[in-house]
Amino acid sequence: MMRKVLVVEDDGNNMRLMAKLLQGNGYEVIKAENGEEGLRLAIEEEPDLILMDIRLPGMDGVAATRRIRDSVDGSKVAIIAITSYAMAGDRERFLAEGFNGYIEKPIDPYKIIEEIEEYARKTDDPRSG
Amino acid sequence: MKMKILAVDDIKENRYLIRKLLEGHGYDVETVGNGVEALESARKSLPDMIITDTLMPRMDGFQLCRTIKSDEKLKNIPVLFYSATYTDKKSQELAFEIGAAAYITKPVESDEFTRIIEEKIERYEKGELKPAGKPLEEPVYMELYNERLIRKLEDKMLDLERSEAKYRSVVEAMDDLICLIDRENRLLSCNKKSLERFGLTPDDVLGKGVSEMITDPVDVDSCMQMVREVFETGKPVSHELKLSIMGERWWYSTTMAPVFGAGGSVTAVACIARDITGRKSAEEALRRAEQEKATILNSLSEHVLYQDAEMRIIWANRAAGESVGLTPDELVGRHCYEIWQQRSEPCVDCPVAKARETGQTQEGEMTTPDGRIWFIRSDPVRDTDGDIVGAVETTLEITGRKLAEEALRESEEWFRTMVETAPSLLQICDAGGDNIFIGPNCEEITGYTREELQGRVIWWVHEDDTPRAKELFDRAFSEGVGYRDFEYKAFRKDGELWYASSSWEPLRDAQGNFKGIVFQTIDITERKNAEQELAKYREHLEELVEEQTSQLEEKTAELEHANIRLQELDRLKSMFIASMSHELRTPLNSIIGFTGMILQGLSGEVSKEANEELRIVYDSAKHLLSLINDVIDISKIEAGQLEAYFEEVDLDEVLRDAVTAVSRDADKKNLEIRTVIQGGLSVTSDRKRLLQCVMNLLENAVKFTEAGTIELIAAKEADTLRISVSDTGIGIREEDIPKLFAPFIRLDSPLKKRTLGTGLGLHLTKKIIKNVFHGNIMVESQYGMGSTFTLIIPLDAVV
Repeated sequence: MMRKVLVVEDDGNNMRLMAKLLQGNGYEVIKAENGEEGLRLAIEEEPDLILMDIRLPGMDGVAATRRIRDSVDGSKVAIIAITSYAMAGDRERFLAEGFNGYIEKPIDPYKIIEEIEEYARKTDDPRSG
Repeated sequence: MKMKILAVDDIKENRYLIRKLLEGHGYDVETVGNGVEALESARKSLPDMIITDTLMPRMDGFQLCRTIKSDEKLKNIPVLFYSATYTDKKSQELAFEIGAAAYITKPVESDEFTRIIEEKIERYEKGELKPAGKPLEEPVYMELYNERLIRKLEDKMLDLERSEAKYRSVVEAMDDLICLIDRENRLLSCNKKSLERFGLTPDDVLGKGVSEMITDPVDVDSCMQMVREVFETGKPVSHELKLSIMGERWWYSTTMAPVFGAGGSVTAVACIARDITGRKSAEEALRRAEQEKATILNSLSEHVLYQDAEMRIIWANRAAGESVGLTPDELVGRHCYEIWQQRSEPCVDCPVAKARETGQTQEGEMTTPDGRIWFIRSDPVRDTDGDIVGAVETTLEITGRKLAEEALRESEEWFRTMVETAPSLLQICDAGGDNIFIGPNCEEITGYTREELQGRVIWWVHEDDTPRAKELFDRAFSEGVGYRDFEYKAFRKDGELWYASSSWEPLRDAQGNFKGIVFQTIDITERKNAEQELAKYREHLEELVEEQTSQLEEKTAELEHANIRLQELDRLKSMFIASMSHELRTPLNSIIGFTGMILQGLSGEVSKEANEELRIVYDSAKHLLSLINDVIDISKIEAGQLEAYFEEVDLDEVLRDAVTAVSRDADKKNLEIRTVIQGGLSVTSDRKRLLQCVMNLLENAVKFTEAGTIELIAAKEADTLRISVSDTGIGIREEDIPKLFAPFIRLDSPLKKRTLGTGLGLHLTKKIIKNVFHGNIMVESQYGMGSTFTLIIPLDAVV
């Protein structure tokens, strides 16, 4: 049963929304406001799941994910893109970049937890068991 | 009453003669051949008189007379003797002794004979001719009769001797070879001619073998064969034999006849051979001449026909036969016009017919139906009396010559026309360089008359080009070579300058000997002037082109620049759309996210009223989101930037998602949604756009239906996917249907509650179906009863 979720999000409102939704559903939330921090915490904290915004100041979500995948421990962790990039082809582009899932903003507050768990299950992270 | 006379003679001709004589004088005459027959006839018919020959076989006149005179019934019939041979007194006396009425010596003249007989008859009728009173005693008669018989025998032998001598002299005198040959092919006798031919004396003849006389054994065999045949058959045979005798060859027409002995068997063969060597060599000469004539005529390639007066072919040579695939013999008896001309009567102007009519040799030409042309000569043929009996026709095919003549005439005509009409000046020089022909247009071109140019090569060359011209012409004549397009300056007679171009070719005879040169010269002054003009223009043109080119380059650069700007604008536009989409979504995320979160109770208890109003915020934010999505989609379609992502799509899943999206609203209205999938679950399509379209239709159906059922049917056919959404809702007025797909159109609705919607749903759906799927959307509706929207998506077009 997963507990620890790393949320990488530069917008404070959105971060507060995601954190409350996750905590309200029993998750431990680690927050990172930019890509570099996200990368550092992903290695240090070894979260069960990472929710990654794409447009970030400095290192963006795609670059951070690539770096996480390059680190030994981060190679298998489920990383889900949560982004306002909702144009045709965006979803396919992010999945090809190494994300395990894609959730479009604005999120559906009634369904998002279910969606996250679905993606995490598909990733089949050995540490989740 | 006619007097009846019986005439007795052993010779048939005499009987006939006597009958004719006496019948001519009105007597009734009967004739018989000897005494026995005479007695028989006399006893039967009792003649008034008997006239008899003396000597006869079986019973002679004496015996007859004696028998009649001793017969009681016949003894009064007067018997007249007549004789040609035995005119001696003793016979006459004997006749009278035995009772003859008269003894007539038969004269040569028949009238005389008749006269004597008539006289005797007259005298007999007067009773002057009285037979002797008493007949002779038998011994006396026998003595007298025997004496007559001996005398008769002596006469016969004399006769024979005379006869044989006569025949012998005839045989001896004959020019034929006559000899007697015995069964062993030995000579028994020969006539004089044979002795000469065989080189024998009369003493040598007897017993000489035929084989000793004839040198060639083949000839001997044919002779012996004939001899054997005559001995075997007893019949004469005749053959023409070629015999070599004493080294010479002779032709004999040879007849061999049997000579019968007393017993009736063949005892010898008489051979009579007539010399026909002359005739044979004449025949042979004729045959050889015929053969030579045929050989000569057959060796000719001309057809030779000899035709009779009716123009039937009597003789034809081999060439004539071969020309129609027949042997000369097969031509005989037919007409030349039927064989060569396929006509049933002679040709008009036939030289053969004319030769026959005029008696003169005739010549002419004819064309046969196969297109061949012939030269025909005909000579009349006369017999020894000078009458025309036929004609000889000699025919020679001259098709090739005729065609060649025709071709030559034509070619000459062409050449003449060419020379006369050619714009160029034609000149022919002999091998020595003398001008032997110059075209009629020489004055027009050079200003010199033909006479003035006679005997000169091109000599109007301007001094500038003279050395080059001289060099080329010298080479032309010394080496016999041609040249093309020698361009040079020239002077007309009046001094005017002109430009000329000359080309030339050597002339050669059939053996390849150089015979001269043909020159052809044209006036190229105009061209030269034009070339100079052109050179000027070219310079000017180059400037122009340069100018145009630089202008063109500028334009190109401008266009390239504009193109880059356009591309940039395009990029900016799509960046703007993407950025707008992103920027609008971020605040909406907070609005939708937090209201949803509060509504779920994650921020603590809120009053019921606040809860209701938060729900309104939440729904409005959702509506705003779909407005944004639709507007962005439409602007992308209009910018041509709506990209499609085709993949394997699970149709069942797409329809389920679409139904799920509207299920909350449908449940609220208690509407049932039935889904039917026909013909397979998997298609290649753009999942997101397909879902969007189906969802739009379902949302509309839910929105405008208050009660009943919504039916979602997907049917995959061979190359088309049909998805239809039918409802039992308010329906659409017919006049409203064309307006349905315009943007931001909201039709007047009979529903009490105003429905939420962007007004872009159907507009966008139609655009997606058309632009992404290249398909179509169809509407069927009955106002107040319900509507059916059908998406028609071709499956092959999306691959």
